[in-house]
Amino acid sequence: MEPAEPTLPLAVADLAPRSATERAWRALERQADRVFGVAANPLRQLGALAVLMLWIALASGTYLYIVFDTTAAGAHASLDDLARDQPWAGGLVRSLHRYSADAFVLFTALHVGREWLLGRYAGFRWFSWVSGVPLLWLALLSGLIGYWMVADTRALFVATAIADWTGWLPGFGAALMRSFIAEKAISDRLFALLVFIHIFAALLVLAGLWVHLKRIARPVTQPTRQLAVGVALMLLALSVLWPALSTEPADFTRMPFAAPVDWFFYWLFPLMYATSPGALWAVMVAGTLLLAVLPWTARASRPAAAVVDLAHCNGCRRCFDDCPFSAIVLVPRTDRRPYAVQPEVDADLCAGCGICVGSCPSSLPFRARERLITGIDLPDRPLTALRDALRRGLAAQPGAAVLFGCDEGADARAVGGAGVIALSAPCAAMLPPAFADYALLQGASRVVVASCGRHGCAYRLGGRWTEDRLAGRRDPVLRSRARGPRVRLLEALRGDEGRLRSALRHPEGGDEPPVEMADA
Amino acid sequence: MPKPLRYLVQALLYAAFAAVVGYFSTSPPYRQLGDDQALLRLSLLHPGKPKGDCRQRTPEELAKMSPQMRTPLDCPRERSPVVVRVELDGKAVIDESFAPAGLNRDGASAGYRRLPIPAGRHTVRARLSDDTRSAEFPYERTAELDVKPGQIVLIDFNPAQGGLLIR
Repeated sequence: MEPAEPTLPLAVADLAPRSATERAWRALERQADRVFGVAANPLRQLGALAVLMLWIALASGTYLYIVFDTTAAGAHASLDDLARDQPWAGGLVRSLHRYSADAFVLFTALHVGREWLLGRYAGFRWFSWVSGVPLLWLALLSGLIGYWMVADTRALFVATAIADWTGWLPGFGAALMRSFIAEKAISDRLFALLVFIHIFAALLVLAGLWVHLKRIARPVTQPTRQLAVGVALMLLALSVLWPALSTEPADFTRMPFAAPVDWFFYWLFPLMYATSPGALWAVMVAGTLLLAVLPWTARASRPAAAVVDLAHCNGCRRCFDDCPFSAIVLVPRTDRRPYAVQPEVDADLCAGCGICVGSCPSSLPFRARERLITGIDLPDRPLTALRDALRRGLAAQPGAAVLFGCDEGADARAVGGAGVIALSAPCAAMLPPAFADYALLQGASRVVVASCGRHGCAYRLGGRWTEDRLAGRRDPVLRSRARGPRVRLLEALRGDEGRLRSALRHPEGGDEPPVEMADA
Repeated sequence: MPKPLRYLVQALLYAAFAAVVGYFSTSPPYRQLGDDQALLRLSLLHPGKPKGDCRQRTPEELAKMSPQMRTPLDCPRERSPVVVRVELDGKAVIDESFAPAGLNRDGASAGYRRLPIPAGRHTVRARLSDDTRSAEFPYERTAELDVKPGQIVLIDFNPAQGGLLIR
């Protein structure tokens, strides 16, 4: 017996409300898109840029470690000579080391801020968020210790400030800081220890990134080539024009009046001297705890996880391959059908994006059943509701254009109306390509699929899979008979409703040319 | 947006980002002390004397103990806190008691304090007591200093070098 007809009137969900800060950030991203293009927009690849900066810092640091004299007497001279005697070699590497570290802090801060503004820290994303918190401390530790190793007046300031800060801690703080308070206490062994902490903390950041990205399939850890080249050239130019140099060697009997501090790492110490070491500890610990518990403070409604229907699953692995959050694992078959594996959804990791639904070979709208049942589906937004809405729309408006949009991108409902049947899914990649073919065969004049593109997808890979499937590069592919000018893919982010209208009004191209499919 | 204009704006934005990175990596300089200020620092790491006197165990007490535990003296484990008083030109600026470390209060006392002071001629008098059984301060040092702006005056304690040091 067929299950009851879904009660959803349309496969269009209520769009999530946007906060003013989120709208402001998205508006900023859109402006940057106009300048850089979506693929090279640094605001969309902040995490990847931070990783790139880390790699540059590690590579340049490796060279500096080779020439660095790890003795108290030789540390300052080894780096100072490097910068002054070899401005185009070692000096450049040193400058790159400093500026990449500073840029790492800036990109990381922006990355954290962006994810927070876009609400990407709660629900299934909690692990990625929380695992990033300790990395902030490790990066701060590595940076502060790194400046200490230079053994100039700036190092004296940071050593003194760290001593003042840790000296407040009951128990070991005062004892610890005695190692740094007088010149006689500064030993070669201390410098060896500093080198170890500096490098080890940086490597721990790298190792921590592996954990940070553990629940993300195909993480983007490299910016696009165009952006990477742009940022690398920027750092290089900065290093040439504004080389990083040491100040005078540290004099432990005198405190520099005006220490040239690196505000990306030292910001906490002026705060401490304006208040107290205890106040700074309170701010840092409270800030860390606040960040760590943030995922549980959001009252985000969580969509139901995808559900597997083994009767319609042949264990093809496509949902496993396409899931952007590694929420699907393959386990041995349990229903005695002649397939080796079956998918199993981890509800805690599932974003409810429906990308798996779009990948399933059973998601064929041509199937004759009244209710379209597929191998994996969203209980709240079943695929059959999408097909029903399409059928109803085409029955009411024969020959209309069909717009398939996504809840996170341009608002498809705002564009629908006379001559346009607008449908929306959680992600454009929930749409099986066969739906475009089906819509044309059912009488649609043309089909426009609006996705957030390769670099703007809220579910990370939806835009990429949509483009690849429609272009015939990734299963399930759009059948060749449907490829052509009647099926178009548009990159339309939130706020791009005008471009969607224009593209629908002008099939051959609107005011601004739509992003075409690569092979269509 | 026309391509040449896009590239121009891109270059300007990259330059602006580089300027932010370059400027804030060294500037603005942070002034920790005023032009006419110096810094007085106190740092010590010293175990105080035991808090109480040792007591001779009676033969009866020793007999009740395991053979390997029969030490004739019963000494308290807890140490005295280290009390430090520092006067600058006759005025007390530091008067603190630093507790011994450890769960049983049997470790060394560690202390650190920093105090910006005006530059100029000063009389610094430091006293230290490490025994609660005595009201006296067995260690004392007084120094006449001409402190220059930015100078760090360190009060340290090292019994091997004569106790309190002011340098």
